[in-house]
Amino acid sequence: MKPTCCRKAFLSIGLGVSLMAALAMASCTPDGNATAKPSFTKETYPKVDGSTATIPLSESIAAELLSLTSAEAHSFIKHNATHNAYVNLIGGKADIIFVTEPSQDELKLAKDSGVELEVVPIVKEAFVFLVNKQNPVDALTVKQIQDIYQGTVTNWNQLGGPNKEIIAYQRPENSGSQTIMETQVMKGLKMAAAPTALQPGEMGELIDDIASYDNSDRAIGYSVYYYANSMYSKDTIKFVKVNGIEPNNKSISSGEYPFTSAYYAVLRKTEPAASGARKLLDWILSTDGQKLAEKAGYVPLK
Amino acid sequence: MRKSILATVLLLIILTATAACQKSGSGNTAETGTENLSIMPFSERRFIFTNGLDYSEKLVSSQEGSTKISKSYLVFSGFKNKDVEEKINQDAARTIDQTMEELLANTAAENGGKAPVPESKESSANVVYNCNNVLFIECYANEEFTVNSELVSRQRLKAVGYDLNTGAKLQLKDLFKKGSGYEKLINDYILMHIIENNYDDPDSAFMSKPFQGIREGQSFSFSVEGLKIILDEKNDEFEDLGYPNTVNIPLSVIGDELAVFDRYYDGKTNLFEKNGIKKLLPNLSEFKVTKLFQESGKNYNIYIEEGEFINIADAAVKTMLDNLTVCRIDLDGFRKKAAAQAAANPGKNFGNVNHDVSTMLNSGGYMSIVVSDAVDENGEIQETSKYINYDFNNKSMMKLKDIFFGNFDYKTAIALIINNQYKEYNPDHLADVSKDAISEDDFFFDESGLEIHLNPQSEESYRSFWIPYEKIGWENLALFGGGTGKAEVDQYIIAGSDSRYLTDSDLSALTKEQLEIARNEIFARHGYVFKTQDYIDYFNSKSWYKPDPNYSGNLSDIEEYNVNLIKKYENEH
Repeated sequence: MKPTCCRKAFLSIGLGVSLMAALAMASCTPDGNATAKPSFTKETYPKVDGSTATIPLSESIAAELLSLTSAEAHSFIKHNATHNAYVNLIGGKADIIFVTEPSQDELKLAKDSGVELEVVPIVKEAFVFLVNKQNPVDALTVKQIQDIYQGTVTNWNQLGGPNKEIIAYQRPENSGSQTIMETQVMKGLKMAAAPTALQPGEMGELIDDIASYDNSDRAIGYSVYYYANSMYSKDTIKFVKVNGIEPNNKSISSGEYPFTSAYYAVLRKTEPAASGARKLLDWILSTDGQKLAEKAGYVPLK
Repeated sequence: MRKSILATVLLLIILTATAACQKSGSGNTAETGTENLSIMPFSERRFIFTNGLDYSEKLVSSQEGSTKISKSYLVFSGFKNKDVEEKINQDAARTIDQTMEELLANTAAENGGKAPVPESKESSANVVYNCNNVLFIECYANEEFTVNSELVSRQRLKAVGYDLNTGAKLQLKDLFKKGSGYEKLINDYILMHIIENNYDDPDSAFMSKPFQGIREGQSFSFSVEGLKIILDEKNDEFEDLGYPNTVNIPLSVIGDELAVFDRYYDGKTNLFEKNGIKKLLPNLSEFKVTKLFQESGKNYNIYIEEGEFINIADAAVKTMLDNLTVCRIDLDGFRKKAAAQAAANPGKNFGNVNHDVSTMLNSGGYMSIVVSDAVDENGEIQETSKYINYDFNNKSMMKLKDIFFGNFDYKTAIALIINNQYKEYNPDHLADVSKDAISEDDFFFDESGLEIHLNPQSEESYRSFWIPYEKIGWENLALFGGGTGKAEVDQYIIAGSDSRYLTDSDLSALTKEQLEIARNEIFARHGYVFKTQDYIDYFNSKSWYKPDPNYSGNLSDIEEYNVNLIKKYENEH
C-alpha cells in the first residue's frame, strides 16, 4: 500500500493573513544581537503543534529552552500534521504552530471562526528536481521544467542531453510535494498525465498507480530540499540547477534559487505581546534561534 | 542470468572447506584477521542446502489479571552438538520474550511512561531462513488495549540470526564479504524506498527528518527472499507506526556482496543428525505484469494481463519468452458475438474473457510459467493453458524429460501415480491413463513437485494431476543439478557425472585427489566393488553406494566420455 499525504500546502498567502516575515525579523533582532533566551518550564511552554517536517525543529527548540535531552524533547513535542495543527490553532488548542503555508480551506476555517492568523517565516525551504548523476543535463530553466511536465518537451536531446525519452515522474495527488509542484512550479499550467505502473493493491489485486521516481537515466523527479539535501546519495542522484542556480543553503537562504519557500510559525494575531508564543517566536527569529535551526538541518532565513 | 554450473557448487564448497573450518569461534571470527573465503559468484549460484534440524512450537497460555497471555516458542532439535542446540533454544526463547518486553516499553513511552493495561499479549516466532548452517527467526509481539473504548493493537518485529556452528548471533556485517560496501548499497535502496512511498513529503506521516543511514547494530532479518531491514527506534527519523516498518531488499540487489552462504558452511561437516535438502535460490530474472486491460461491455467482461520478462541478458530469449505470454484470444470476434446477442437478447449476459500469466517457479535457473486463457460464451467455457518451462542454465525450453535423469522411465512412473490417484478418488473411472498420453510440454513444476496436464479423454476424466517429487523419488530428479535433492554433504564430488557431459568448469578447480574420486564415483554408482582400502572406506561412507559384485564395468557413452575427460585432467596435475 502506498501511503499518501492529503495536504494542500504552500498555497499563496490569502485573505485574512498578515505576512510578518522581514518585519518580524527586524523587530526582534534589530541589530543582529541575540535575543535573550525566554524562560519556560514544561508547564509554561506554549502549546505547540505543526507539520511532520518541522518536528526536529520543534524538538530542538524545546530541548534548548527547557534543557531537555533529545529523547525527553521527542516525547514532549507532539505534532499532529499540518491541517490538524491549523485546526488546533484556530480552535485554541495550540498557541503556535510550525507549518507549511495555510491552504484555502484553512484560511476559510480561520475566517469563519473569526480568527486572524499571523504567518511568519522561520526557516527557508525549497523545491528541488532530481536526475540520475549520469544524466549529462545539469541545468534547466523554469520554462523547460514546465514544458517537461506539460508533456511538450519529451526527449532529453531537446535539452542538450542524449536521445532518450524523458520519464517525468510525479507524486501522489494531494501530497505536499505534488501540491507544491502544481502551485509553485506549474503555477496553474496543466500537467501531463503522470507515468503509471501496475502495483499490488491492498487486496493483492493489481492497480494502475502513479509510478515512483526510479533514478533511471531517463528519469526526472522532485522533492523538498529539507529531506533531499542530507538524504540523497550524491553518487547516484543530483539536483538540477534551475535558471543556472544550484539549490544549496546559500542560494535558498538568499532566495536566489527560484523555487524557494519556507516553513512558518503561525499564531493568532490577537496573541498578546508578552505571551509565551510570541516570546518563543522572537527567540526562533533571533541569531541563536536561527543557528539552532540550521544545526537541526534547516536553511536559516539569512 | 545464471550460468550453467550444475554440480560446481559442491566443488567450490569443498574448496572452501579449509577456510570454513576456521570459523568455529564466535560468529564474528570471519571478520577478524584475513578471511580466506572462496565465494561463488551470486549469478552462478543456483541452490543452497537446508539445515537438517527439526523444530516444533511450544505454546504457553496464561492469564495475568485481566490480560490474556499467549506465547509460542520454537524448540529446535537434531543438532549433533547439544550445547549449541541448548544455547540457541535458550536465546530464541529469550528473544521472543524480549520482543514483547520492548513492545510494552515502547507503548509506555508513547503514553508518557504509563503503559495501558493490555487486554491481550501474544508473542510468537517463525523460522524464515534455515540454510547453509545459518538460522534466522523472526519474533512477533502483539498487544491489544483499549483507548477511549476503542481497541488498539500494537506490534513489534525482532529478528535474530545464528551461526549454527557455534550458536553465535549474527550481525548485519556477517552476511557480507569482508570489505564489502554493503552499507551504501542498503542505504541507496532504502532511499529509493523512501521516494517510492513518498516518505519525503512535508507532511509525511512516516518520517520526521531526513534519512540518516543504517545504524550500528541495525535490526535486520534474512531469507532467500532477501534482506529485511527492520526500522525500529534506532532509526528515529522514521515514525513509530505501531506496527513493524520494514524495507525488503531482494537478493538480486545484494547477492554479489553476500558471504553468508559460504562463511558458515564447509560442505563437508554435517552439523545435524539428518541431512538437509537442496533449496533453489530465486532467479535474477522474473516475469512482470506491465499491462492490464479491463473492459466491461453491456453483457461481457474482458480481463487481460500481459507483461514482460525482466533481467534477461539475452535479447532473443527475452523476445521469445515475451511473445509466448502475449494474449492471442480473438477479442474482436468475442465482442462481435456479444454485440449480436445484446441486440437480439438485451437482458442476457454473454460471457467473459480472461488471460493471465502465473509464475509457478522462478528459481535455480528454472522458470515455470502458466499462461491461462478462459473464454466463457453463454456458459460454454473454453479453457486453454500454455506452459512455459525454461532452463536458463542450458538456455533452452524444457521438456518433461529434462526434469529427470536420462535413464529413468519417468512416463511409466507418472502414469502409475496418476492411475493410483484415479483409483483413490474415482474407483469407477473408465480406463487407466497410458504413459503415451503424457505430453512432454503440458506441465509446470516447482521445488516440491510437478503438475501434469492431460487432454481429457472423457467427461469424467480429470485434467490435472499433482505429482510430488517424493512419490517419483528424489534420486531420479536431474532438476537440482543432478543428485538426489538431498544435501550432498557426504554425497558426490560431481553429482550428475552419469547424465551429462562434463566441462572444464566442472573439473578445472579440482585437486588431483578429488579428480580421482570423481572418476571412481562414476563406477561406484553402478556398484563397482573397490579393491583399494581407501576407496572401499570412502564409498562405504556414502549412503547411495550399493556394492554390486555382478557389475561388469560397463559405462554409458556419457560416463565413458567423462571418465576419459577426468583422466586427462588427472594427468595434467
